[in-house]
Amino acid sequence: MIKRDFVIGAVIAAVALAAMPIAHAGAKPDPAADQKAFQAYFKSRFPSLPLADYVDGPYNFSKSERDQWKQIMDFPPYQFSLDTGKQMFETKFPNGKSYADCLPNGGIGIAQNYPMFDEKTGQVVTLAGAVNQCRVDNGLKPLKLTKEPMADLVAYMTYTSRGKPIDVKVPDSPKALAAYEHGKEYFYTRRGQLNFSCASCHVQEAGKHLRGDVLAPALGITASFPVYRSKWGNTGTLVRRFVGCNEQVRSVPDKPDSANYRDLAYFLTYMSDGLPIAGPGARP
Amino acid sequence: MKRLYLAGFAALVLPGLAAAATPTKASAEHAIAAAEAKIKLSAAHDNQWPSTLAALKSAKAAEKKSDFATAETEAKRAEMLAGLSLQQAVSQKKLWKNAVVH
Repeated sequence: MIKRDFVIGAVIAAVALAAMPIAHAGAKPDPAADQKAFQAYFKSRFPSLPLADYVDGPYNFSKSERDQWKQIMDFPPYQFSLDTGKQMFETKFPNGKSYADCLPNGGIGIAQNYPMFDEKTGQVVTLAGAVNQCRVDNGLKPLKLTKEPMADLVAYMTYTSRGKPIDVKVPDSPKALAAYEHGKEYFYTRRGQLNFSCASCHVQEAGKHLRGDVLAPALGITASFPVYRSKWGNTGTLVRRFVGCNEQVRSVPDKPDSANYRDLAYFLTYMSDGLPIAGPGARP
Repeated sequence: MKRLYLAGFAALVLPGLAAAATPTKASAEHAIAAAEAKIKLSAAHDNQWPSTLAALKSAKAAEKKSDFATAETEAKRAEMLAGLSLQQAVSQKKLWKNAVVH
């Protein structure tokens, strides 16, 4: 009797074990659970750091950098971008229309909702992508996604969202979940000759030094973009930073409008839902 | 008799070895083609290293200058690097999950 029970038990256990990887492999993505775990990880790693302060990135971990940053912010280096961006935003297209005519809420105070998933196209749309779509719809050429003037325009639009909590949504649809999962995979995948993933620096080594730089935690990292970087000497978008990160780990970067980068931005920004928009920012 | 064997060996084998060791236009082109094929594979896996492309570029430049030795060496380096990036991409298809924050 005992022997029979043992055999039955062993068979059940074997079947359950065999089914586990299948169940795991086919498990439906759960963005809300991921987000909860992601934020909890950083809360437990840096218990004294309020959640909203993560948007200040590296300045939470280096007093000297924070002091310098505060002084720099007396005259924010991105001010020129804001002025240019505002002027661009308010300038009518040759057909008499403007950005306000083709973006939600007239394009003001909407940055916290991007990237968003467009069910019609089945793709993630970034704020810069929406701006370019607006331009194309009005007979203008799309702008390059990495630097000015796009960075200026997005900087101004992001400024109108300052303080609003990030509110990126992942709809419960197969395509949206696939895009989210793709972004998540990209974030955690090691690449390049140095064998680094985004997570290597911005999760595992967050808050530590990499040579002279303090590595910003992934949580809240998108909230300050576009950023004026002293290294660049001008303002750049989030995708510009993605390109730079790929180059730093000796990986050939993707195209700025690639699904890889759009989905990565989607995942990363969704992880920071609830944190306030702080862009445009200033970084070393 | 020993000398006869040695002479036979030298006559038959050494020219072959020498030919194999001396890169030619054909061998350089073959190495470049092999590198390009591996590079295409790693590109399909979304994982290309700049050093791979730099090595291929060097190989092609050397081949143009009829420096077949350099061309072959650089092409083989490019193929090796592309192979490593391919290996990285394939292994990461599963391994990335180990790094996920739970």
